[in-house]
Order: sequence, then structure tokens, then C-alpha cells
Amino acid sequence: MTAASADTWAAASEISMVLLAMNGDDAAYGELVRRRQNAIRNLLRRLTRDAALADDLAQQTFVQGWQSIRGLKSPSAFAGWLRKLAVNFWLQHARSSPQELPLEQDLRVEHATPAISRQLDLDAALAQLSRDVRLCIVLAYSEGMSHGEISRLTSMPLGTVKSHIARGSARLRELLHDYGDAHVQ
Amino acid sequence: MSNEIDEKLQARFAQAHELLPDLEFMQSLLARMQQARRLRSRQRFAMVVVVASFAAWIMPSVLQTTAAVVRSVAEHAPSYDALIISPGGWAVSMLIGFGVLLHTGALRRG
Repeated sequence: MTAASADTWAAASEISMVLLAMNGDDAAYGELVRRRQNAIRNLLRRLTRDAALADDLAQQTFVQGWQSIRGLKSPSAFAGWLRKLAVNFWLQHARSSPQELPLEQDLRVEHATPAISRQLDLDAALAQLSRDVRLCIVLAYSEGMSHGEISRLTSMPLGTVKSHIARGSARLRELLHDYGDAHVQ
Repeated sequence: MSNEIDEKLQARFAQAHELLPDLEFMQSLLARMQQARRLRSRQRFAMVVVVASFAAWIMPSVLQTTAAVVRSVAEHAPSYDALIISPGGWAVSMLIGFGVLLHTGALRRG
């Protein structure tokens, strides 16, 4: 892609790019991936606590998205649709792996910078939550989704989502406090 | 609908949100898409081969069956030859021909 066409892509709206991608334009889909990869990879990192696995699932998500984008009902639904694909890939992976590693051991790195240490603490704390609770918490806090949106995306009843978020938040506060974060009480 | 969200936890998630380098990820993804494209082409080719082989395998039997059916219909259908060459058949043929000419307007002047 030339610098001029790269500028053109960068200026194009997401909806027009989704429409192009739905008509088989691979360059448009590539630009959509470039714009969305950070969000999807971060979402999957929070869910998996494993950067390599998260990137692998993110790539599966984008390949699946590329193969099935023609079936997308509305171009404006692209972001949510992609997130749903990512969550489904994670759920599929989580169901196929028997047990996640026990995480009671401290994951903090002695000489890590405070920012990395905080991130490791958060990911370690998230890993202590059950799969469904973690999913609800990550979608609510990392993705900023409402309870209703989470309920629709995960097909869990609204009451269950609310209870997962309430219990998960309380547990996260406890765990992060245990990790020595004075900011979260 | 109330969405009770702990603001401190939300800030913590925001801090954990990283700006990830995309070059390696994109290269690896493009390779994967290329692989998926090749796999899809192979699957389509395999499908065409299967359909063509099946068609080639079934074609002689389809042709034989069709020929048998045509022969059987020809054998069992009544023969109209004698009827057509009789004076009555000739008259009916002429009437039909005249009707067709009238219908198409071929007999009109100008």
C-alpha cells in the first residue's frame, strides 16, 4: 500500500470500509484489522492472561471475520460482531482446556516497572475468577459494556450478569488489595 | 437500568489497556489469511473434482436410461402416420395452417 493510499484508508470511515470489506475488498479489511487489533488483543489478554494465546485467538477471530464478513447484517454492527467472535473463540478455547493453571503463586515480577506490575496483578486477580464472572467483569470494565449488552452478547440472563459483576467486583477488590494495591479498597 | 460500576476498578482496567505493537501481529495474520485462502481454493478444487467425477461416473447410466425411456415411449405411443395422410387428416392440417395464417395476420392486405 502506498503512502497516499494509506492516508486515504486512514481517513475513510469505518462503515465505508466495512461495506468495502463485505464486497470482498481485502485491503479495506486489512485496515479494519489495523484499527481493531489493539482492542481485541487487549480484551483477549484480560480474558486469557496469556499474551501468546490472546494473539492466537485474536488472529483466529480476524481470519473468521474475514471469511464471514459477507454475512454481517449491518456495517455499523462490525465492532460488536467482532467482539462477539473473539469472546466465542475464547469460550471455545476455555471449554476445551480442562483446567486453568492455579494462580495462587504471585505473578508479580520483582523488577517489573510499576505499570507492568499493576497489569500483572490485575490479570492474576482476574484469573482467580470463574470463567463467566471474569467474562462479565472484563466486558463491563475493560469494554465499557452495559449489563444489558453483556447479557445479549453472552446469552446469560440479566440477573446473572448483574450478580456476576457485583460478586466479581467485590472479589477483585479483595484480591487487588491482597496484591498490595492501596488504590483499590 | 442501573450499571453499578466501581470507578477505581474501571481506572485500573484503563491503566492495564496497552498500546500493542502491531507489525508482527499483522504479518502473522496476513500469513494466516493467505493459508486460509489457499485452503479454501484447495477445498473448492476438490469439490469441483468430486462433482465432475460423480457426473462422469453417472453420465453413461443417465444417457442409457434416457434412451431406454425414449424408446419405450416411441414404442408404446400410437402412430399418427396413417391418420395424417388420410383425406380427413389432410383437411384438418389445412384448417390448422389457415388458422395460423389468420392469427399471424399474414393474409391481410397492405
